[in-house]
Amino acid sequence: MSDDNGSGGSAAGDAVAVPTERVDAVVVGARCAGSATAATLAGAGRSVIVIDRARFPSDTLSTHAMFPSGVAEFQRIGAWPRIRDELRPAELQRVRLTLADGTEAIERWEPVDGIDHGVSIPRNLLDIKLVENARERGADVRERCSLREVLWEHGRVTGVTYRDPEGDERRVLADVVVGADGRRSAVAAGVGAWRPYRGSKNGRGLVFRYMDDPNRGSVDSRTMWQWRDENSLAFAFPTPDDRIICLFMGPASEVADARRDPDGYWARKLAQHPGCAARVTGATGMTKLRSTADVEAFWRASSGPGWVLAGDASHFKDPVTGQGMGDALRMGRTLGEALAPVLGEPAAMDRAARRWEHDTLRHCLHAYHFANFETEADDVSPVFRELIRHLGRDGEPALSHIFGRTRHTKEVVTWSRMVRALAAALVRGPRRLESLRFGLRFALMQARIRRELARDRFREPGPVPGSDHPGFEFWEPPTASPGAAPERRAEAAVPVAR
Amino acid sequence: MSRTVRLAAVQPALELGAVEENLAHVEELIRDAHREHSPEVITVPESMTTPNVYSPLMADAARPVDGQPFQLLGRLARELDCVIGGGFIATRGTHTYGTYVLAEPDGSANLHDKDIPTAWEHNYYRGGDDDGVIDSGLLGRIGLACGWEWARNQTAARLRAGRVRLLLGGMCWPSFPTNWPGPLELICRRERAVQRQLARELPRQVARMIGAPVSMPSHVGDVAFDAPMMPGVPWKTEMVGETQIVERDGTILARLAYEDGAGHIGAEVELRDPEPLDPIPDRFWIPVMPASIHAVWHPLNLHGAARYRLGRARRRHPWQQQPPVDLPDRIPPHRPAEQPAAVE
Repeated sequence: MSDDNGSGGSAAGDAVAVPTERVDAVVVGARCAGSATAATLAGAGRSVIVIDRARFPSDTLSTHAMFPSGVAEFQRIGAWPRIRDELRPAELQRVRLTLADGTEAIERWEPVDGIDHGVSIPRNLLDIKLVENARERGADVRERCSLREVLWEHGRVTGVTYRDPEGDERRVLADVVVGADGRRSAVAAGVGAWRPYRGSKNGRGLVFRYMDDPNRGSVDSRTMWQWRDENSLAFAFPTPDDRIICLFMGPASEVADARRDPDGYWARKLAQHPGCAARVTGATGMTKLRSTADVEAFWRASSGPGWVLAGDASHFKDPVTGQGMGDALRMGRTLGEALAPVLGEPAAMDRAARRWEHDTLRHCLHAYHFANFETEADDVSPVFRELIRHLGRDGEPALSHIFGRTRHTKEVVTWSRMVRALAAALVRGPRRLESLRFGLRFALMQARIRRELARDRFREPGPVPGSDHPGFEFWEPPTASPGAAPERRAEAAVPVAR
Repeated sequence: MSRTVRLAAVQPALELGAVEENLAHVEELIRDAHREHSPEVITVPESMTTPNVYSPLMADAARPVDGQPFQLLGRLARELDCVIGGGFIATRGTHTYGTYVLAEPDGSANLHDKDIPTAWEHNYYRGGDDDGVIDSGLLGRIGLACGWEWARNQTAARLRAGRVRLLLGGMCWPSFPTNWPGPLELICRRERAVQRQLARELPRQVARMIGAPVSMPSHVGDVAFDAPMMPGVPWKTEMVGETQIVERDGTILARLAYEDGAGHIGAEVELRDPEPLDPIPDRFWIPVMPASIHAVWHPLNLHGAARYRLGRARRRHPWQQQPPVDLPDRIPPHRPAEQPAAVE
């Protein structure tokens, strides 16, 4: 890492002295994707500066479900011993799904790299461990630093300027700028990638609270449990310190009810989900409800000359399937592995970044479609009930593989299983006509999804009818307020919100 | 309705294969041209990322169509509030093309792919199929042409049929070798003189044929590469220059020759309905090309195209290591935070 305390080289054509440093990579955002990128690059001997607006420990809205594949990512970036030993999270070895009529699937997770359990750790506890891990591996993580501008030179992103905790402007020049700064990514805006090339409207909202686990020490304290009643989902995930998070995902319109009348909402949801009510009976130490309905899914162009987007800045899936953190960690690690050997070689780096984006697309696109299906706030179909009834009973891949991402969705929801489930639903009843409609619609959608996956196209804009839900509306891009504009803006730089 | 527009054209001296360095040099020249001429339009030649010659260094010259060269042109257009054009070897879908981008300050852009690669250029990209007639938001109906596309009567016919009011684009015209010894040098010297003359005459001829002003920025300077189909034989060339801005009647308003080296020129032209002055002959080339050009044209085309196809079939081109992307030929206006995503 080199320091230049003066004019700062040629990047900006500036007149005022801005303290300038030169590193291999600058990462904006220090949570899952950012810390994983930084830890991997720094571990490979690259100089890395990470800036984040937050001061850690810092919370953020999250389902914070981590399945074994996600825990394996902790291990791959070297953070797992610290998380395991210092937070002592509950080892969640089982996944359980319960329907209103008592139909259940109970499975153990398939181990990934020897890890046979998931964890659920609140972000105010987890993220600081990821930051500490990145620091230990050599990354320079700077808290309370806000991105100001993405710098461009000769058609490439060459660095950033940011405000330090004292409000002073600083500049970092780097071979690559990684935007791991979430859905409203200022880096995405700065590189012109704000507008997604694909999106899908969410059908569900998210309402949750923490509480003491009334079943501590029992098998329930090692179980990630989901209930499906009518058109609503409920989850109970044990968290560290013998607490649990109880989370409801009903229709998105319910979020307004939860904000208007939290107690009434809570009572209604427990009445709707008697299984969940039984699980949390006797719980104490309840926190306030937290909620959001702002969870539209999207895909952004995520690589370009000198820049990459990772984590939620790159793409966002409906949180109903709990894949965001695991995918963000994986994206960060694989990005670091892809870039470390080629930083300093612009053409090779750009190629590696684009290949990485394509690999990420391959890894996550089927999970995106799965989440799009799950976000439909419809009553549980008899066909789905029959599918659950038979999952795990034939020795073939089942539910845990979908959530754990140890198998592809199409390996679990096979054509033969779909046909058998539809046939069973038609034989058993009730709602046979509805089952037939659902079965045909689902089969058609699956055929379209599989065709898209087989085509393996880069930045496929879709949509897949039936999966990409219409009505997608994205936020307006951030704009710089004229009064806040810097006196001497870097040449070719695009202002971003600060 | 007519109006005047101030044009600037950049004549760069570029280094073979040094894409990033060349883009930096081009940016400096564009900024300098903007300061000096205060133009509404600045154009740089085709292949602004590297001189377009035959060399192993060319294998790595292609860039994604939305990559660094595209970003440079688009961002400079916004920042300088000026239409900026330049060409580069671009990956578009599963092929590469000699693409020329005309970027406008509102974020819109028009792309044109050179119709026929010249001789050894076939090694590195293939020809496009658009007619080079575009509708610019600021300039109206204009034409784009790259390299020896300028020198073909079929190009002039297309542009005349499209009733373009201005022709932009760029040239990369290498000469016969300057380093071949003995009697070969006598031949090459004469050929070089002929080529310079042809390059000097060409913008005027095209302007009169299409009845519209033209701005033809060109590469300049000396470049060393390998003689195609003759392994181990070096070929030193001089990019002939002849950057010109020419009125519709063939009047040269501004010019840079080989001897002037790198630089830029500016001139004001009138945009109005085209008034062709000269007929378009019924033959392939606009200039009367010497026999030497005819002798090498077809063998080098076949050799280059075969190598391109073979390399592509074996996935040996470096640009094949990344997923294919493409942009539409016409990109509508957009905000800085909303650039178009290049998709497959």
